[in-house]
Amino acid sequence: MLLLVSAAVAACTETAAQDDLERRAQRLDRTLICPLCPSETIDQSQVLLAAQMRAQVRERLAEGWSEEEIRQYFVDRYGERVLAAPPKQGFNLLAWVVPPVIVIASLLVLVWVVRQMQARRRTPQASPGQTAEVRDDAALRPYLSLVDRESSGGAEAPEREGAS
Amino acid sequence: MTDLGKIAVLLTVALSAYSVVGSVVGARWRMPELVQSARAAAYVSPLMLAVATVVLVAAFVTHDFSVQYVAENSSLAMSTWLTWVAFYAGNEGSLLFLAVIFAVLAAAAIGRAPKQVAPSLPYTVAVLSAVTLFFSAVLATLASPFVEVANPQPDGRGINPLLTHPGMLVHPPMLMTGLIGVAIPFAFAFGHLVSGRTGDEWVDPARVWGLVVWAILTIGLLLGAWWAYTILGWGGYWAWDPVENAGLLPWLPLTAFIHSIMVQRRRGMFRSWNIVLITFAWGMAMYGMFMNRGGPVPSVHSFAQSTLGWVFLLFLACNVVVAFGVFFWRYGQLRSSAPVGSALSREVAFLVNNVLFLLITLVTLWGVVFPLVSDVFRGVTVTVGRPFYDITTGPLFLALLLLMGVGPLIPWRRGSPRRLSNTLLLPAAAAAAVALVALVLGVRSLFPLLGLFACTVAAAAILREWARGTRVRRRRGESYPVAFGRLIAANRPRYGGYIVHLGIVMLGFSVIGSAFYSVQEDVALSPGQEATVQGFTVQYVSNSTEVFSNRVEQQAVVRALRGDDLLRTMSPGYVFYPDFSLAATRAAIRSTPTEDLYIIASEFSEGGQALFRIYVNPMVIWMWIAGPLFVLGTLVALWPEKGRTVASVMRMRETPAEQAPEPEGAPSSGM
Repeated sequence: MLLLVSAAVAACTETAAQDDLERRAQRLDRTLICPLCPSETIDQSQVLLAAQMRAQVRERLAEGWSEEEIRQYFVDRYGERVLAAPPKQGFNLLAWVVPPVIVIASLLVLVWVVRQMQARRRTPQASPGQTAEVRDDAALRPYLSLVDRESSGGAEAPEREGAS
Repeated sequence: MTDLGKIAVLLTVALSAYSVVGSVVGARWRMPELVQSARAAAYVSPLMLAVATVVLVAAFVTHDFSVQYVAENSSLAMSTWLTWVAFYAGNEGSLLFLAVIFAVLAAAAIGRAPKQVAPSLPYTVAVLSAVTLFFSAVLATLASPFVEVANPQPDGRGINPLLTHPGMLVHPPMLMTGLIGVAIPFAFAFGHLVSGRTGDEWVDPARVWGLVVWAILTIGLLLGAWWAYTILGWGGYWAWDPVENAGLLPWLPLTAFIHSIMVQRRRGMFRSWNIVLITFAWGMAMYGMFMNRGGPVPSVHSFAQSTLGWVFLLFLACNVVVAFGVFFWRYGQLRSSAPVGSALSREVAFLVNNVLFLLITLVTLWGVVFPLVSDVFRGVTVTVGRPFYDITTGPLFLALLLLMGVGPLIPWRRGSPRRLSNTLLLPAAAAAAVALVALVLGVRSLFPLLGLFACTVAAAAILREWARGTRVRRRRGESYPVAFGRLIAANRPRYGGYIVHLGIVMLGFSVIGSAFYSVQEDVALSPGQEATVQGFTVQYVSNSTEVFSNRVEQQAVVRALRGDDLLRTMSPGYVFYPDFSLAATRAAIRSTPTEDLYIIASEFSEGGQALFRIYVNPMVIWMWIAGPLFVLGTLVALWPEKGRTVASVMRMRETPAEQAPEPEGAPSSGM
């Protein structure tokens, strides 16, 4: 596991953040879909058209076009589906707005549900459940005591070992 | 011969139809003999489908091109091993494969069903047989693999060359088995619901089958990633392709299900939630099978395309409508028995886990659906690809990783914030140290740093718990290996889960490394020239061309060096199939624990010049190492614990029974 972690750190640091033309071109390649082979980017695709598009990307970057201009150039020629993800404007904004809305709504529902679950505990008919719970603990005592022993017993040593 | 196959399929239709009707009628009007015989029919269906499969495989192996399906999916030039498995490469054959594998699994599930589910078993049998009925009916009518042609050709068309990869031996069958297998835990849940019982008896078989199917589906997805990595030749393993998503979409709710089912097993909670989850997973699995045959979105996987998609869509719709209809009809029986003590409890941690998995599912589904939405409302086709999914699901996956580290440390019912922070101190410190080292060494982007942190927390928390548990047992006089073994044996679901979690940590590291720090270089080289990438020097030595009857293979010989040391001689290749006007690369890969050197060669010209694409992909090997851990962890979690069924766990929970919160809600412990 230690090997794994150090390998991961090494891997992440090895790459110098060189932002030359080729890196920019590669990033751009990955955002453009090859019009001939659905759902493959021009970076992935091995057909001739993709190779030509890759060459065009490099040419235009060298000429000083911005990434946005190059993308627009391909959109004008092949339509919006040439973009690997919809642009964040107009109708396509919907694609980007819905996910955060779902996330926020779900988290609100989650908070509400957890409140409800806790509230149920305080209602009268649930109170017998309280006692059942206590007995339940009694039934689980061997296990629980083991857990307790585990979490209090070995408190001194593992800290040192795990940190090494 | 083909007549035998047709008859076998027709008999399956009859048998499974009888099994559905017999089970329901027999259970409803209490006719045990009818229930018995309907169950027997479900045991015979797999035999019939096996006969049909044998007929089809025999036609492939003997090159019987009078069968249309054989002629379309094989040729004389195919190697022998391929003819044995080619039968599931096309649409009709893959349907037969789905049907036979499902019928076998269903028979096993019925045969091994624990006694406690006996009252609801007829309904479970009915659901399972209904699925067999659907597939065999499609095989008998719309997509028969046994259609003969009037004047057979001497040779067949052959198989899609992208599929001639050893990974293809296992990836499609695993994935298909994983998708169709989701029907089994669903059938236990649904049977229970229809029977009107109020206990949790269905949880045991559903959990076991859920885990089995989860492992199969996981390995299927990993093998697909491996196949993409070695043959699609773009240096990656996952492209958020619509059909890849179709495999992921059922995997996510299924993963949520195998977590939350533990809450019902231990605490009798989440009763309705679990049924919703497994229904959702089955819906997504049907959607996955639908996507593979003529779904609405184009993909590299559309090798089994046909108009059959709409029949599947209809089947999906029926399933969902019926399932949710029954769900609301029986909603009253599904009240949870126990309240939760505090927001800081294992129950709530599991709930958050479920919500995160479902959110990833919904966001992914939205990405899959959006092109259709755009098409309908604007008439413009758009693509929703990797940049979208990276941004929208990345943070959710990160949250899951963090939860994976913290969740298992929180006790059931009520956790104490102090104790939790004590337990977390060490893992968090270790993770912070790792992140700090990475920061000092030059990692400047937020996401990889957070990812490294989350993965390390999870790994350290698991290792710490193992170390502690082992040490406690060791103090009681057990040797370290014995103590460790007994620790795991004492709570297999938990420690099996930990093993899987370690695999996920490896997967996490691997994804972080390869997604953010892969380096790519495209160079045109002539023999004798060399290129240097990330400290690796690649020398192009020579090339060779071989012409076969169905393909042209070109191969380059390159020497990979680091400094002046020769690491390995590698031979990336390029294969062209004129019949399909399709080319495939054969990547040459040198893997080490830190990185893969990945070389593909293409566009060989007369003078021997070739186009090389060289990747240095960090950490990829850990992704493949995680696979065996997933299997091992699942096996540990599944290994039967003597007498530890939901009934026994519940008895512990509910004693004395009359004090249970809901009088009728208490599971009859005699079951």
